[in-house]
Amino acid sequence: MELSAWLDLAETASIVATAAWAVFIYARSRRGEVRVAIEHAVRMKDDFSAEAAVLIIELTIRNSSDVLWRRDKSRVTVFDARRLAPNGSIRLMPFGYDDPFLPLYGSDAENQEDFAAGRPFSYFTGQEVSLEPGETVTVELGFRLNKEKLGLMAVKVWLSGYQGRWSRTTYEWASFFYVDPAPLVGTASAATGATMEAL
Amino acid sequence: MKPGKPTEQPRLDLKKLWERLDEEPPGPVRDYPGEKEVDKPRPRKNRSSA
Repeated sequence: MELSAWLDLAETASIVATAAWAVFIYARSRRGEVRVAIEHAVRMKDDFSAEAAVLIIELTIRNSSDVLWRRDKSRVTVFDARRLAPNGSIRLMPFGYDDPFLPLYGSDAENQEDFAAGRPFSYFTGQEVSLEPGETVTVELGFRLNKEKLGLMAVKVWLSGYQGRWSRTTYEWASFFYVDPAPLVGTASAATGATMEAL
Repeated sequence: MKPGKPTEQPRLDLKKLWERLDEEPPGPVRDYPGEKEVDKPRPRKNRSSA
């Protein structure tokens, strides 16, 4: 074989090796995967009424990757964590659900009944919710509490979604944290204004 | 992130849960707002961002 043929072969092999290395680095760095960051802050409005307080959970949800994230389902669950289970673990008993994307992207209700019934927002048929690469949304969710029942709580934020525009496989992202209401009392009064009427 | 199925976590009937428990929850039981859909002429894609 002539020298030029060897050089051509070496050049081709080099290109193939470089491409394979690039694919390896791309796969290993997970740059093609969605990363969703879920951050939280909590405060308490303890003068909502004589009997009721409101736990306000602020969520910041960020698509920190370079890949489009599309929502499948999303849910926030608040647990009562005041008691122990028989096995000695903290007993987590859910008492409230919400959807973090509904206040953001749900359509406003179009009749008085829905507003009055506590359904101010609804998704519309065929609606897609997505986070572009780098996009961040912030939402606050309120859960009414009985002042007499205040105690340790826990919150789970659970998202199910797709990676990229065409993927049909769902993935999950989640966050879980405890909320101690004791140091939160009074933390939301200034932010949420005057005392509301009792429900 | 956790890939693959099953992704659906069953939503409980919280009122029944607490009734069976015979305890009072820390606040009023609040069900999932639901996936009630509203008919609109054509879907739009959210574009708001920070």
